[in-house]
Amino acid sequence: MSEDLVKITIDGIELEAPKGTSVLEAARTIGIEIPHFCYHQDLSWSGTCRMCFVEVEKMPKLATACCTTVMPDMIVHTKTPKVIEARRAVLEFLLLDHPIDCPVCDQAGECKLQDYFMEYGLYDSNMQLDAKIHRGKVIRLGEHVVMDRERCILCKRCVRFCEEVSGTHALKVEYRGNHSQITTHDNKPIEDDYSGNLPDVCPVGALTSAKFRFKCRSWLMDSTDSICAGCSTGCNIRIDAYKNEIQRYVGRRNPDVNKSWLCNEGRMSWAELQNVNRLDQPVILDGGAQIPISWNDAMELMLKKIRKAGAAIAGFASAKMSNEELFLFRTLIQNHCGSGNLEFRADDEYELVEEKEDEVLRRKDKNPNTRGALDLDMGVAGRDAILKSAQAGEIPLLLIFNQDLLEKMPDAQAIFDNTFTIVFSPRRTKTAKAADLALPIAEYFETSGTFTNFAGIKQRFDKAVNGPGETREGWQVLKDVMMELEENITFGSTVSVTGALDEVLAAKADSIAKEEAAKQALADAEAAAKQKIEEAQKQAEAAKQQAIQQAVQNAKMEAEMEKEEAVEAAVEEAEEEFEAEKQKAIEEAVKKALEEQGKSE
Amino acid sequence: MSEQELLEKSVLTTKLEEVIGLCRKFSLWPMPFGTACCAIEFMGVVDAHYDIARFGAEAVRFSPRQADLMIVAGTIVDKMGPILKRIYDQMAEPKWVISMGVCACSGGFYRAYHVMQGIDEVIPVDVYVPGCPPTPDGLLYALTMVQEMAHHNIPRKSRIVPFGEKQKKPEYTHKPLSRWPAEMIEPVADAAPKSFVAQQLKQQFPDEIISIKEDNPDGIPAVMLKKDRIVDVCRFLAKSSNLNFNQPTDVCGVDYLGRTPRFEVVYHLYSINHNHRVRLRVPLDEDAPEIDSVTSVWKGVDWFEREVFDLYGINFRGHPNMQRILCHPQFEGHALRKDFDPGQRFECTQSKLDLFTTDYDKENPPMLEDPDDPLNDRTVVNIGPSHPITHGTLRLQCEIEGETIKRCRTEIGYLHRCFEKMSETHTYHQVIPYTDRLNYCSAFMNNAGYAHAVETFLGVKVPKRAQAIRVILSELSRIIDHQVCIAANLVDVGALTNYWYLFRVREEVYELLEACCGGRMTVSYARIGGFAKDVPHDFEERVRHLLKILPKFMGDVNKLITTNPIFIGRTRDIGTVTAAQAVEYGFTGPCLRASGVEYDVRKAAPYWGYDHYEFEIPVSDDGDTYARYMVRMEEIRQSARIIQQAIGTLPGGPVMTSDKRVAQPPKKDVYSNIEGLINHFKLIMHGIKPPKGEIYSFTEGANGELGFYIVSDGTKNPYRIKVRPPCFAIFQANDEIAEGHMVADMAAILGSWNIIAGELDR
Repeated sequence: MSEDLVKITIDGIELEAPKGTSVLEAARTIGIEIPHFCYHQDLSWSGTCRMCFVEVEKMPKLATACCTTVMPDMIVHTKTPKVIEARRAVLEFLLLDHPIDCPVCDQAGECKLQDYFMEYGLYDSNMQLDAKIHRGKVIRLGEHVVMDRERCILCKRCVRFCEEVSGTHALKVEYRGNHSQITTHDNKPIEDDYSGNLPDVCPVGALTSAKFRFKCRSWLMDSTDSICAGCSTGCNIRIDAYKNEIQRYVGRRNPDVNKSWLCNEGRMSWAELQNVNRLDQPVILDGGAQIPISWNDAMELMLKKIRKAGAAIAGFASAKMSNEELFLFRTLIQNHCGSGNLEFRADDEYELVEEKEDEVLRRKDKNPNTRGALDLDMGVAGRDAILKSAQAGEIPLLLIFNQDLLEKMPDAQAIFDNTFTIVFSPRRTKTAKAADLALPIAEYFETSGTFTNFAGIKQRFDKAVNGPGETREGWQVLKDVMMELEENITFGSTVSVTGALDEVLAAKADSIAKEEAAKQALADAEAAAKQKIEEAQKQAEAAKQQAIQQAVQNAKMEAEMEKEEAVEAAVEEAEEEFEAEKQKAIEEAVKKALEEQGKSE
Repeated sequence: MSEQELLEKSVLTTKLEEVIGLCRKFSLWPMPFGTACCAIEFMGVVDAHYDIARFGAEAVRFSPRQADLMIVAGTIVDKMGPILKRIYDQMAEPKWVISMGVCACSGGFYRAYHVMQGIDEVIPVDVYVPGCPPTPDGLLYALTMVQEMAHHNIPRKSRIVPFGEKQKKPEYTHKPLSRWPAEMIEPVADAAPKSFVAQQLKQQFPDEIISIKEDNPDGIPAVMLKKDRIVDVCRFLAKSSNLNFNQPTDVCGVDYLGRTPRFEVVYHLYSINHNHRVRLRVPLDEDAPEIDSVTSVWKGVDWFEREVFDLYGINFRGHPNMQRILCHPQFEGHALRKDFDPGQRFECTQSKLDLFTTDYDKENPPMLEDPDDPLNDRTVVNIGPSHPITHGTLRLQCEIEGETIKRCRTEIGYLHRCFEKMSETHTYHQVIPYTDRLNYCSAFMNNAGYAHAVETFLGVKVPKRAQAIRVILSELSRIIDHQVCIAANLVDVGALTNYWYLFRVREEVYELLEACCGGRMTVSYARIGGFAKDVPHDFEERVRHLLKILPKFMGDVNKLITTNPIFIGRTRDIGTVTAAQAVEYGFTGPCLRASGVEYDVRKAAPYWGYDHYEFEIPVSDDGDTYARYMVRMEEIRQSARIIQQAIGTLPGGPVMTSDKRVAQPPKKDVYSNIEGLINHFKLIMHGIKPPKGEIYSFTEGANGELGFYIVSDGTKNPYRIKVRPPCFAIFQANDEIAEGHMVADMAAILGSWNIIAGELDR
């Protein structure tokens, strides 16, 4: 048993859970769902709602599974009579004042109170309708959130969200006891960019989405997993649609990318895209106006032009295209036609791909697949080069895919006069309106494919709705073109295209890796050599130092010795002198003494 | 009075158009293009109680050349389309069309892959009559509207809305209906199985068994086997004396999309002698959906395997006739697969011309007329599907020599209304109206049988009162079903009077049902857990009144028919089915009992308290058409006996279980507290959710053992419902039994099987 795993038993099943996880999370790993309201995987532990009670042996009272850490040799029971009764009782208390709003509440169908009542409740009520306490009903907290205080069960997920995730502390609990209610500070509306997550996080209908209010019932909608294309973060979403109309985006959990959250702008991004200003039929420029033609005719014309243009073709992709579309586009322009006029950077936004716009989710690059385009080497020629060639009349055919060139590069207007432009676009953009042949393609929620987010994570999105009119999926159009031009290309679905581009990317990664390895080896060798030289140098230095030191020492010693000798000599001299002086002094003294004697005699 | 005055009083002048219009108006001759439940209501309009003769329209003619008013009564499916068009074209002008019932108007609640969304895809319509089925008054009102049109020669305003316009592009992206969670089927090493059958299988075929599950809610051991030796296993089960699974109850397919292996063929087998059952489940891979046919063991799996092929694409090697059976020949794909969109239709522009060519001998079709033998007298006659004896929806091709049938081939599917696909898109409750339309002559029994299946699945107990009422209404339904069968059978052989007598008493039963729940024929009265609401307070009076008048009408029929030498001549020794044949084909019900085998679910596996009532099972050893008639007549008497006992001992109490998983809370709770509201809300929107598992539940329908095999994945929609239709197994035998008889005998035999197409084709 490793240090990080703790052995516990839940309902007779033994398992090893990582240290620090709660009993609820551990039970989830073996498929046992413990009912809860206030617990959320991406918020802090709370233990407020008391619904997740479980019986733990040797604990006198029931424990809340969401905030009880697993302990070694813990034995947990989730289905004993005591637990079942506790769940029923908690439900009954939560439902005491709950208004009878199901027919008008947006949460119906995805409401935990409803679901748990059918599973754990099913009791007869003793509560009188007129004994229920009434609280605030339709309270608008900003543009995205509507609050209903009667439905609130005070799990405080919303408060924790505002504290921990969006950081705005927009909501708080006011008053105490039975009067507790959720409110904003000074009744200000919630204006931050993450308020759209509050309806998602609320387990009941207390906080509902103002944008989605009364639009569609939850069981009527079909759900599809997808990726938001608002910026390069690539938050995971679930698209709910009913009868081919998108009704809403809901955040999908991805611990590596967006946890469970979305920003408001991304959440509402579909509204502008689905039905506004769509190009729904292929049109051809004829005598100054664009007239509709059939797809068959459009394809024929396009193939003719491509075959004629040969290697002089140019292709302008965009970072809004999926990896599959980019790959097929590149295969067409580079591999099949052999042209080097491939580009996707209409402006310099691609440089911002990793730059954060705020501390939570948003990034400055508003394209979903810049990284994917960079990984697939879509930026070959440079936009100015293509512009110049086009203006010089060297490019007979220019394919522009999902890129509003005229919006981003106004001086590209010249191209449209010199070149035959085929524009693939979902909308009637400026570029589409100026095109010689405009082909309607699908938006990302009308097709399937993958986007690579800023961190290099490739994420799949699927088709949620059908495109309007004669819209076709972009990758399919490219695939059909390739199939006409080259015989051995067949792709049944985007999955097979992803497979192909995965191979290419893997090969590229391989070659990059090899290069890196070679570089590394070279660097290693250099470093080794360098090291050796350094070592030698060091040694030489050391030796030199040592020699110097030795010399210094020798010199010191000699100096010392000399000094000593000098001192000795000096001392000797001094002594001799002293002796001499002494002698002299003695002689003089003797002489003097003799003289005195002589005198006194 | 002078001559002048006399002349003035007795002569009137008018326009010729007026006179002709008047004559047409009061002599509209209907051509009843009746296929389904509405046809039974039409028959009710023609009978004495509602009396279409008052309007001058009682000359019902089944030939288009003799009729001027086509009443399309019942669902028209894609397969029937070309036939409807041809029959309409064969009518001479002036002609009018009444579209009776919502199915004919717009497809009804069958937004399905084989149902025409309204007959105005192929023919123009004058009057649309909504209702499911419309009450007879509704049809009569439509008739008066047509009369006005005929009188004043009003041109019709409807146009034909072609297939392409009706079959619009799917509105939204198609996703599979439901998927099974991704899992692999691994062999499970079992402890010793408890049931005798499973033990024997394990002993004999230890390597073939993948797993054994014995704790199913129906108590039937489910053995999952490998497909390699399925024929040996089945032969062992059938022939071994202490197992003796002589009756193949059902063979069906299930698509576990998402699981590996994807498909499964499920065999339900029953031993009449030992009264035990077994379920064999054989998983098949998606890229190898093939298995050996077991038609060599029992003949009665023939059509069941064809149905699995039609709806799932699973090939049965060695099957004598591996062709589609229900969907039309221009249908593409396999409809019950989970990734097949329920609304995806294909236009059928031509029916199959030759039924004798099987899949195997497409290269060498049989030479029916031998040019070298000038005295060879054989011709092929096509009977149906629009023919009085085929009751509108069956098709036969007989190779006859003179008047004798040498070979006969049947084609069905002319009422394939995609019940099983519809049930996968609806909740368990919403399936109940669809069950009505299975055997529409005794609709209540289907409701109750299905409710019984789901109740057993959930473990819900039905209160005693509800059980007794179910018995009473089931027996009444049985009576009216037998009466339809006998009436139609007698009409086919030419004894028309009895039809009036039998339908007259049916009207009385309809009035009782209408008082109970508002519906005459398609009642949708049973609910999972009991009944929607209690019976009316004068229920006992009404029932006793019925019991009083019933013997009078049945007595009349008995006196006219039972010892009638013409009838005896037409039906004695005609269509004889031996006991062994009957059991091997999977016969159940009156047809089986008429062949000498005493098997009735009410005695063998009693439910709803049937074991507390005294009644007998009529059995005949002859096996011919006369025997089937006699058995049915006696069953009517025995049913009356049961009703007598039940109504005398009808307990009080609730008619709905108190189990909140299935029962709706009382309305006052729904409006006054949140618990009641949530309960009601969830039951309606998300419905009943049986636990993951499977069940085969069966009751004694009017035609025999009506079984429901339900697979649940724990969600609100059934994952798979397979109806085991009693007349499906019976009708398979028709080809073999008809050989050697004359064409006229065909009429008698066909009527005696009591083939209800709603149940046959689903």
